[in-house]
Amino acid sequence: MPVSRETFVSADAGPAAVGGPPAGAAGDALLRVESLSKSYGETQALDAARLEVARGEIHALVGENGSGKSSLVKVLSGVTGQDEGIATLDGTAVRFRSPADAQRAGIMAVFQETLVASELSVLDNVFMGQDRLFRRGRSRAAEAEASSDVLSQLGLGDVDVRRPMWSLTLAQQQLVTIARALVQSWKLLLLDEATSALDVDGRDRLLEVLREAVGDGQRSVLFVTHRMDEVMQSSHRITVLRGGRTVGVVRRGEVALDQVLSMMAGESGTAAAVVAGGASGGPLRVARRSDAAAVLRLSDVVLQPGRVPFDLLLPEGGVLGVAALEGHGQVDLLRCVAGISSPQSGAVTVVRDGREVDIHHSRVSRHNAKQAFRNGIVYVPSDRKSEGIFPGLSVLDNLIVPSLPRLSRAGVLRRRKIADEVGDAVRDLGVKTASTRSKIETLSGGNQQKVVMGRWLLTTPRVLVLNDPMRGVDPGARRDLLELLHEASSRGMAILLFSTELEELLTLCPEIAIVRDHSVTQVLSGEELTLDGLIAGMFGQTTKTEAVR
Amino acid sequence: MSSWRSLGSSKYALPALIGVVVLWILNAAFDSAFLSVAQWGALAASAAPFVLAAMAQAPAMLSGRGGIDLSVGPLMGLVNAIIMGALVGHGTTSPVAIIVISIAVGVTAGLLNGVLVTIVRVPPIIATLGTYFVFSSLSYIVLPLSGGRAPAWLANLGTSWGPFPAVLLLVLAVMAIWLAVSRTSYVRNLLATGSDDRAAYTAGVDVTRVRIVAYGLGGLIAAVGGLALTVGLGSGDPGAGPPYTLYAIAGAALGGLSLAGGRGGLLGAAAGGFIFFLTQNLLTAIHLSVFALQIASGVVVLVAVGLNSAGSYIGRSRVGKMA
Ligand SMILES: Nc1ncnc2c1ncn2[C@@H]1O[C@H](COP(=O)(O)OP(=O)(O)OP(=O)(O)O)[C@@H](O)[C@H]1O
Ligand SMILES: [Mg+2]
Repeated sequence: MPVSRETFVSADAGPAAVGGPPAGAAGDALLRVESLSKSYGETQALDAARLEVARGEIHALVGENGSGKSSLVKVLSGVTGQDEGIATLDGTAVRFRSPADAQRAGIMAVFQETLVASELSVLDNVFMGQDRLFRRGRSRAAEAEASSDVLSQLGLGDVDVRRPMWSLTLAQQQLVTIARALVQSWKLLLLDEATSALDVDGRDRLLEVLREAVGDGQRSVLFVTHRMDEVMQSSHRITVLRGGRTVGVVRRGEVALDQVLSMMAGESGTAAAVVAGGASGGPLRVARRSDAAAVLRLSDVVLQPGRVPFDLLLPEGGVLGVAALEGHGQVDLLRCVAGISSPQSGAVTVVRDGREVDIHHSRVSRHNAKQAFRNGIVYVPSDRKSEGIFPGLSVLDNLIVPSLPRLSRAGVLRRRKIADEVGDAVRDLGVKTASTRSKIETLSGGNQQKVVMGRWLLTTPRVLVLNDPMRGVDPGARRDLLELLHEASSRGMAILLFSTELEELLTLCPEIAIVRDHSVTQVLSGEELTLDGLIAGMFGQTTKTEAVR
Repeated sequence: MSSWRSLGSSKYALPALIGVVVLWILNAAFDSAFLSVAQWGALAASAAPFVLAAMAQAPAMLSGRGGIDLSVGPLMGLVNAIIMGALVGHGTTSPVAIIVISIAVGVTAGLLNGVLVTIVRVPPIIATLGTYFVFSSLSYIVLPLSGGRAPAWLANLGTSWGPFPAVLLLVLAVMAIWLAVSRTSYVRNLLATGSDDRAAYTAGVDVTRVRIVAYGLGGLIAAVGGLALTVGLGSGDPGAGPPYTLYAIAGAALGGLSLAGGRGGLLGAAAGGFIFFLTQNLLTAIHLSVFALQIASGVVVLVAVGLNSAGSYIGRSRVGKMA
């Protein structure tokens, strides 16, 4: 492990300068963490990390994938113990034996993996863990009352709290886990990438709620995110982790985004290149070749009864972005293309050897999904915990499972070829893992996500359908993955990409379809591709309602 | 509404309840005992151990992480052996003594299972297989040979008071206990743990204690099952208990409980156990041979459980489309 030089950008450098008052607070520290270390076997997840959160502060914790952010959150919330180091809360040293223990001390946490009891109702999920073994925390009526404010602030006001949790979208589930923390009385709220599945609207609402919560100058929020715009907008201070060490603590407004990114990346790493090219690098998009043959065609598709029909066309090597607010039917669209669910009417066809193959040829959706897969359409879902990873299997196995037919001969695995391809994939994707034999759960969240994407790239699909594929991937690695996709598309792979991260769409996609009210309302290209244009379209505030067809 | 819900939201049990009604009618068509109110007492006495065994299985199954209690049957048998061998055999026939000691044995045995599963961290199927053998053998030590006569108050539970089969009191007592528990926060903790124990743990649920209590509750219900078994047998039989383990698992599965945990409740388990009894009774009534009977009950279980999981799969994918 190289010795990192600590960077303190505050005017009067040195640890003493770290604790400054946030917006008008008293200025004393609520939480102070010193030389905290934690290792998992060989891996040193935290290496004498430091952190200080002032009262009334929104404090951002950033770092590349695998830099130890979640490990720090887990120690502070009592999920795991530390090897060394101390944490003091309100001036007293604390060491939590369980999450319940941390909660009693006033620390609530929302974890990176959306942890819900999917068989239980929304209300039960909000109040899960608040009761004693036999004694209720509060009556049912009081629960409904206490949760309704929080839920509507977060934008879940319309959701019936008696619905089972599994019927909610991933973003809604994420909001429920946040509500679970907010309905309690807390001093310190830890949010580990709690905004990763939210759209712009949901994120703005949440940040508003957080600002209000710390407004009393007593409570504080520590939030982990890879969305740099959130960091630059809402945090008072930023702590940067690299390789398990604290490499910088900066005050927002005193440094530019570039500097934060270069602290995250250190001297080495691909992310340094990103920094050189600006916050997110230049756009990668190339206009569609006019001579390219169509590979996927949607005609007169109606996603829900009574919605406007639309057409879409994806040529070989084309990249089409999809932008939408939560719940506008974008996931339906992707699932229709993948044959997982069927449209109300209209046709989804894939072109193969000059012939058009109807994906929805059968009434049994399982057959359609098979049809889509056989014809080279691959769908990457967004919920990696429940639909993405094979827990218990190694990184290697997780990468190759769907490619086994290609990687075996007469039923026998071609070990050399597998080792080669997996080695290449791990390098190209920048997966940080002790070994390809490590279990997938031992990887950090962002690195698991890279594996899920790499798995489907290895199948060399003709059409790759991506549902928010870079959730939790750090900005540097995100750029690498976008370049990987770009490369694959220039070799002929067509890509349909939905992302809650609009920058990502603007970087990669020469064309972006806006989905609103379960229909494609616009397809933006060329000059129209701006952040403002996308947001206006997503909120339906477009003056130019150009028909798509 | 809240008490209905607390039987573990009830919709999952609907197919099982319908199954009970259908099988009841079929039984009535072939077995005259079903039509004569005077015989309901005896019928119920042979049905009750099936019902209670399945209910005893439920808490462990609901607690998730492969939760299962193989020791349910032997524990029922052990309670029967203790009642007849250690108590009645030595002149103790008082209801209070017999009930208190039975329950104490059941709860202790259940808690032992719970501790093995959570603190010693033995996988449930192995831990309770171990206690399966222990309880089976203990039964033979306590009561080497079958025989004896159940005390009059117990035997009377095998009759009916008017149309009301007395043994139903035991089932109702368990239901009442479960209802009381459901008024507390325990059932939510149990279902949360069974649904996703990591989510429950990080949310602050003490999953270890939740699971220990689940196995303890299962032991308590198994003890009541042991009383019912004694009512049904009218005597002691050290080998009577073990078969009920498989009936219990089949019954719980028939009752719509998810073997993965987190879904279901005692109402469904009771219905499932009863279905299993009704099937056996029906097949006997139409004079199927004992061997064919086993095959037929196996098929019933497989079909029912297959339909059950297909049903929940279809239900989900429909909504999944909307989401
Ligand atoms: N249970 C575990 N077993 C082994 N190694 C682990 C385990 N959990 C985390 N690690 C390792 O510890 C390091 C830090 O992981 P951590 O999850 O804290 O990263 P992170 O900063 O949260 O990354 P991300 O942005 O991807 O979520 C990684 O190298 C990871 O592989
Ligand atoms: Mg993490």
